[in-house]
Amino acid sequence: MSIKSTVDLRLQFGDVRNQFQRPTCMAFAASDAHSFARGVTEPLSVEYAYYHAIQRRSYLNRMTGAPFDAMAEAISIDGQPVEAGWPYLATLGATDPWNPPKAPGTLFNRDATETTGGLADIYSSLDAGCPVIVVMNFSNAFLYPPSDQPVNAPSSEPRINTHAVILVGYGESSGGRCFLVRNSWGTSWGDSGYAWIDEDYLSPRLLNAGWFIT
Amino acid sequence: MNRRDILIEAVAEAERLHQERNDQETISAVGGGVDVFGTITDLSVPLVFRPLEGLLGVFVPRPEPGIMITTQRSLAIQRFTAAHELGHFSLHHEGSLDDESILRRSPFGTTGYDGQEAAADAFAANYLMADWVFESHLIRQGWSAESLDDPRNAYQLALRIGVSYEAVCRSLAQKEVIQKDTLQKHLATTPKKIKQELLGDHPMENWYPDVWVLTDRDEGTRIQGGPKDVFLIHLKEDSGAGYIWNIDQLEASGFAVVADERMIAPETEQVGGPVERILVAASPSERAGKLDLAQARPWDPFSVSDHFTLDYDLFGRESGRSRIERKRMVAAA
Repeated sequence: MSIKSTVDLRLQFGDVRNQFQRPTCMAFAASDAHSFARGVTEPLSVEYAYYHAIQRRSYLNRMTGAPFDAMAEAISIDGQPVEAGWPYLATLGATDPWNPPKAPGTLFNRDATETTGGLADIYSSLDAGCPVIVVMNFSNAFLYPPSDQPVNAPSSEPRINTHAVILVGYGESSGGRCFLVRNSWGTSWGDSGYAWIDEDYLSPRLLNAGWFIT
Repeated sequence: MNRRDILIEAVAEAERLHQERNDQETISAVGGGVDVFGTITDLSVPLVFRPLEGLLGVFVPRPEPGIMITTQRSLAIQRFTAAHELGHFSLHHEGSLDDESILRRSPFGTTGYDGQEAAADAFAANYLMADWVFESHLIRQGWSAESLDDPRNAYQLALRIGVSYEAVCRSLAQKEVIQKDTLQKHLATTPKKIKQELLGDHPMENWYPDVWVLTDRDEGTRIQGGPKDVFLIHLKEDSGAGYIWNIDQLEASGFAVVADERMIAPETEQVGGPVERILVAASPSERAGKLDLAQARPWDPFSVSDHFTLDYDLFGRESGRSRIERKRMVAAA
């Protein structure tokens, strides 16, 4: 691979997880960033965080996905137990029973902050060893990350959806600076669930960024 | 027999044929309309489509019964005319030359024409538009009676049943599913206007072809339309989880994808939720086949989560022998 990394925090995370077909990317990104902020690789309960984020907005339901601010509120106020406290449900229908366990175990709370400083703040955070949760638009190129270069495509490539991931590093490729993304689409995506994306790819698609306060 | 008994007999005969051919089970399973050409073929009544001057259809009882239908009108009109002629045959009528008036008459609304024609009209209306035909499609589409106050839904219902928009609207009013003033509003809303509204920024070369709004409610069904019909396909796509509908098969089948859009919620409200993907696919010519779109993570071909399948026949109006008869002849050869 012709990418020289400047910051690479991958080893401080556990294995990349799989959200399967559910709209829970925000919960995975926040939960794994929360684990990192706690200084452990032990996964936290995505199900618990997602459930409480959905409860925090009357217009949301389990099939819609949650925005950054609702997720941050849920982890700050409701907290989340370790994964075993409410293991992730690979499938959840619109009418399936969905209630948190009465005794999920110790709940970990943490505040998150949202940045308005764009890429400059993201680089600063990564330089300080703090991964960044980002909400971004993605296009077709993001579905097929190349093995030897960062994802890139013109900003005109039609957007497919919004998505939340964690930036866990940055580096330099022949095309310029790029970010290392930790996704929640399982280990079959990219390099065991990670991929590099060009700064020029992210910049016009960046919607939100934030991190947990350590 | 008085007029009332004649009509009751006609309706009963339509119901008898439905039961004999398991039409209700078929439509409940795969949608579509009652297969009137198949019924005529199965009854061994010769059926032929020819240009007819000033006539929609002809029924000849002797020496052997036969039916002739015009080639100069749409498939929906051909089907209604065929049902009318089938009524003459099933009710053992004398020969009949049928013109445009069969489309305008209400079999239950006037006493101004002869009993034989009233019976054939009643038979045709009940054969193609029995209550259970409407109910079956309403259940499949998740529509209530109120849904049919929207002319776009009435139009989509007409396409699926295989009769004209006007005939469906009149039948819905006659069955008191829609009110009389709603009927007048529907009749003032032309199919062209409905199609223009449906396609919005994607106008057609001309507005004769039909526009099918297809959703997951149509999964596993069959549709019968015209050579240049347009599909407006709405699919729920779980793209926030990496699942994308592969539309290659649509293009490989010869459809031109003229629009491919996604309705994405603002990130301030939700992130990574399912989106509504809207495809506009035009058939450039007559064709038949199976649409089979799959949703999967494109980097993992084994991750297929959903299919959207649909049998389509876009050959449009019939000419010569019916397609069903030709198909059976080929199968028997």
